Formats: sequence, structure tokens, C-alpha cells
Amino acid sequence: MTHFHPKLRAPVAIAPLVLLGLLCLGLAAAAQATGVGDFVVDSSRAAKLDHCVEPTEYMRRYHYELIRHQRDTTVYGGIRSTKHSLAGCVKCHVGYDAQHKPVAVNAKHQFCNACHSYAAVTVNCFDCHATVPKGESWNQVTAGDREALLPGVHPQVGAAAPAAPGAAPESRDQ
Amino acid sequence: MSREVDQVNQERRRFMGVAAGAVAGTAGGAGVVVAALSSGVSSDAAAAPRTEPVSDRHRWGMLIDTAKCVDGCTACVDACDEENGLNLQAEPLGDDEAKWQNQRSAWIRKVKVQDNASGVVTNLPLMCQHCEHPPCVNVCPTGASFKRADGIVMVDRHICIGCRYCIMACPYKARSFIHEQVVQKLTRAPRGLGCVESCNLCVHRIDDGNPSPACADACAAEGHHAILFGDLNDPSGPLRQALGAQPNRQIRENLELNTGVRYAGL
Ligand code: HEC
Ligand code: HEC
Ligand code: HEC
Repeated sequence: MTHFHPKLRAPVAIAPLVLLGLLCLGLAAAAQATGVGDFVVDSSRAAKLDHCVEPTEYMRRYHYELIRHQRDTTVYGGIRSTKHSLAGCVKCHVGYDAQHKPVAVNAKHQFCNACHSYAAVTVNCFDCHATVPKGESWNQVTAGDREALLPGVHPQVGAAAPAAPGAAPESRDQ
Repeated sequence: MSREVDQVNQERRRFMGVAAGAVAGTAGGAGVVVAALSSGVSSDAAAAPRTEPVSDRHRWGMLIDTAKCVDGCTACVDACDEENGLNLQAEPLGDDEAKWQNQRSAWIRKVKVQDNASGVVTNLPLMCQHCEHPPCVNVCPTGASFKRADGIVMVDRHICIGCRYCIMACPYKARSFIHEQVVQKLTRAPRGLGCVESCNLCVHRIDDGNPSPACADACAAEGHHAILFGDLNDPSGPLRQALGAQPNRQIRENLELNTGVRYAGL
């Protein structure tokens, strides 16, 4: 940028120093966590992928619109398998501790919480919704998983199989 | 049920402005066969998650043969509890056990009826009867209690305010209220303090293309086969065949609710 008002030059020049000061004060986390993708938890699946279900910038701004739309699509339309499902967000964004146990996605410093508390947003979704992937129904498993599960897993419709397909991913996750 | 009365009843409901959605084919009656929907992209019979919104092409229901329902067996209730995370409800510390048993959410109740004159005892599982004209939907002030296009009566818990009118309105005592914070929950069965819920015919399974609720599967696995699940709109399907082959009735048929769950041997 070359068009600074002369009077602004001085403050701009000292900005790096101020930033350095902030870093020293231990505010680094807050200042840094504004970069795209910075809230993604290292131990989550998402950390190994390079994009979200929609362009990341869009997700940052509009994720709640997508989820809310999905909510009605599912509850009234019975469509559960799409990429905007809340179960999907949790599955991909949940972090894991050293024992490979999932950590609640809304727990302190975890994906949904870290950013929301930074942005002063509170959601009540997790009063009801599971915060770790547990007992997902077959359709709530992401597409890749589903392909792996397909052969032999799904018995004939109407067959009264005790090992129903709904139970397959569940037994894996529990 | 007389068709005429049904018609009058429907007129009245329409007049009162409370009839929600289109009136689906009357089960067991002449059977309105709804023409198969156009595209055929997602045949609901195929074992695949659905990609199109549910329609009134199907109306899901069950036939429960009380003669096959065994005294003391709770396979259906247990399977339901597990499938829908009901077994994860925690009794509040220091709560009275009897009170808790009364309050905890239960989607199926095993009921025993005795005819005092003959002494004949009948066992049956009682759950949401998935009425065509559900009283719970009529009384709901927010529209949270609703009937899905395929006949499943459910609660949209995102707009349920927990007033419990529906619990009072239900003649089958089929609905439960969540009185406590829920800590443990399953992804497929979200649940939380302050909302009403009831049997949804394992809607997540149906949407998967696996139309068979946990209770029916468990009953069959026990070898009892007392619960038959199926499509009331499909005249050649197993449910309609079974309904035609065996005398059966609705519980409280005098209420003209045209329930989706029917009972044989009652
Ligand atoms: C298949 C895995 C996957 C699923 C499912 C998924 N995400 Fe993401 N998400 C990612 C990845 C990977 C990133 C980081 C992308 C990047 O670095 O640009 C991300 C980034 C984000 C971000 C931006 C975070 C930041 O720090 O800027 C938000 C917000 C987000 N996701 C929300 C959601 C929501 C809400 C859902 C459910 C509708 C969801 N995600 C589902 C993989 C996923
Ligand atoms: C009072 C309990 C409750 C609360 C609070 C709640 N939900 Fe739900 N939600 C449910 C239930 C129950 C279902 C499942 C309905 C079904 O299976 O038909 C559901 C389903 C969904 C679905 C579709 C399933 C999925 O995983 O994609 C979405 C999306 C959703 N809710 C979003 C939200 C969001 C966003 C919030 C917070 C703003 C929220 N819900 C808060 C009870 C709740
Ligand atoms: C990168 C930051 C960020 C991340 C990560 C994030 N959110 Fe958000 N979320 C926001 C912001 C900011 C808002 C408020 C948007 C507004 O009101 O304009 C919001 C709002 C919401 C809302 C709507 C709340 C309301 O009251 O309407 C829901 C629901 C929601 N987020 C769900 C989630 C879920 C679930 C996750 C984790 C999978 C998540 N968010 C992760 C930043 C984030």
C-alpha cells in the first residue's frame, strides 16, 4: 500500500512493534486465530483435509445458514445424507485426545467452541446433539465411509436381520 | 370405521382449519393408490439414503399380533431404548425410583389388558399410533408436533416449547417429556431438556432405505414376529396383505383417528 496519509505513516511504522508487544503479552493465540482454517483442531480429520464442505471463507461466514437449512431438510424431508448435516460437522471437526478418544466438539478450545467464544456466540444445539460421533445412523456416515461399508453390510430390505445396517457404523464407533 | 363418518370428520377438521397437509389414502379401506412419482431417482425401496423429500406415496404403519406378543418379554422395548438412546437417560441423583420410572422417556410401553369377565389376558406393545388425524398435532401451539408426508407423527424439537399440550391430548399416553438435562446422547437420536418426544418409527432407518424399526427386528429375532411393519398405501405389500388376512382393529377406534398402528387379537 502506497497511499497512506502522511500523518498515518508513523503509527503504521510502529505497528509491528505493537504486534510484537502483544505477542509477548501472550495474546498470540487470539491474534493468530483469525486466519482461515486456524480454528481447525490438529487432531481432527479436518486437519488432514484442505477444504471444508463448502469454500472455507463461505463456511466461516454462513455455516449456520447451511446447518439451519439442513435441519429442516432432514426433519421434514427425511433427507439426512447431505454434506451439510450437523452430524457431519461433528464427525469431521471433532478432535481426539492422546488416548485417541474424541473430545466434545463444543468443549473449551475445541472447534465449535473456540471460535464461538472468540466471536461471543452461544448456541444451544449441543444440549441435544451429540458432541462426539457416537451411534450415527448409517446415513450419517460420510460418503467415503459408506462406500467402504457397502459390500455385504446392507441386507435385503424387509429381511428381519438382527444386525440391521443402522447398527453397523454404530458398532464401529462405540 | 364407517367411511361416511370419516368423511364428515374430515370436513369438520378442514372447516376448523386444523387439518394439516393432504389427506392420505385410507388404510384398509378402498385404498387410494397414489401414482408412483415421476423420476424414480430414489426408489425408497432401494437400500440407499434418500435424496428426495418424503412424499405421501407411502404411509408407514404396523400390525401387532397380540397373540404372538409374549408375557414378560421386553425385546421390543429394549431394542427401542438402545436404538434411540433412551437407555442413556440418567436417573437424577436422589430421585425416587418409582417417580423416575414414571418420568423417564419411553417410546414403547408393554401393556397388559385383562378381560375381567373371561379372565383372558392380552399383552401388547403400545407406542405412538401414528394417527392420520393426530390430536397432538391439532393442539400444538407452535407447529412442532407434526405429521410427516409419509404419515410419521413426530416432534420438531427445534420449535417445541415443552408446553406438553400434546401429552394431554394423546389418547395413547404415547408421549414423554424430557425432565432432565441429557448428558449422554447418540448422534442419530438427539435429545434434550424441555422437549416432548415419542416413537418416530425409527425414522432414521426409514430414511436410510431400511424400513424396519428396531422393535420389529428385535421381536422377530426373538422368534415372536408379533410386529409387522410396512406401507399402508401399498395394496400388495406385506402389511396390507396381513391386515386383509386377519381381523384387526385400532385402539380407541371410536375416536376416528385412523391410526397407522393396528392390533390383531384384541
Ligand atoms: C469432511 C470434513 C469436513 C466436514 C464434514 C465439515 N468440515 Fe468444516 N472444515 C474442514 C476443513 C478441512 C476445514 C479447513 C479448511 C481450510 O483450512 O481452508 C474446515 C473449516 C471450517 C470452518 C472455518 C474454520 C476456520 O478456522 O476458519 C468452519 C466455520 C467450518 N469448517 C464449519 C463446518 C460446519 C458447520 C460443518 C457442518 C456443516 C463442517 N464444517 C463440516 C472439513 C470439514
Ligand atoms: C431440544 C433438542 C434439540 C436442540 C436444542 C437442537 N436440535 Fe437439532 N435435532 C434435534 C432432533 C431430535 C433431531 C432429529 C430429528 C430426526 O431425526 O428426525 C435434530 C436434527 C437436526 C439436524 C438434522 C440432523 C443432522 O445431524 O444433520 C440438524 C442439521 C440440526 N438438528 C441442527 C440443529 C442446530 C443448528 C441446533 C442449534 C441451533 C439444534 N439442531 C438444536 C433436536 C435438537
Ligand atoms: C471460524 C469461527 C467459527 C467456527 C469454527 C464455528 N462457528 Fe458457528 N458461528 C460463528 C459466528 C461468527 C456466528 C455468528 C454469525 C452471525 O450471527 O452472523 C456463528 C453462529 C453459529 C450458529 C447460529 C447461532 C444462532 O444463534 O443463530 C450456529 C448454529 C453455529 N454457529 C454452529 C456451529 C457449529 C456446529 C460449529 C462447529 C462444527 C461452528 N459453528 C463453528 C463462527 C464460527
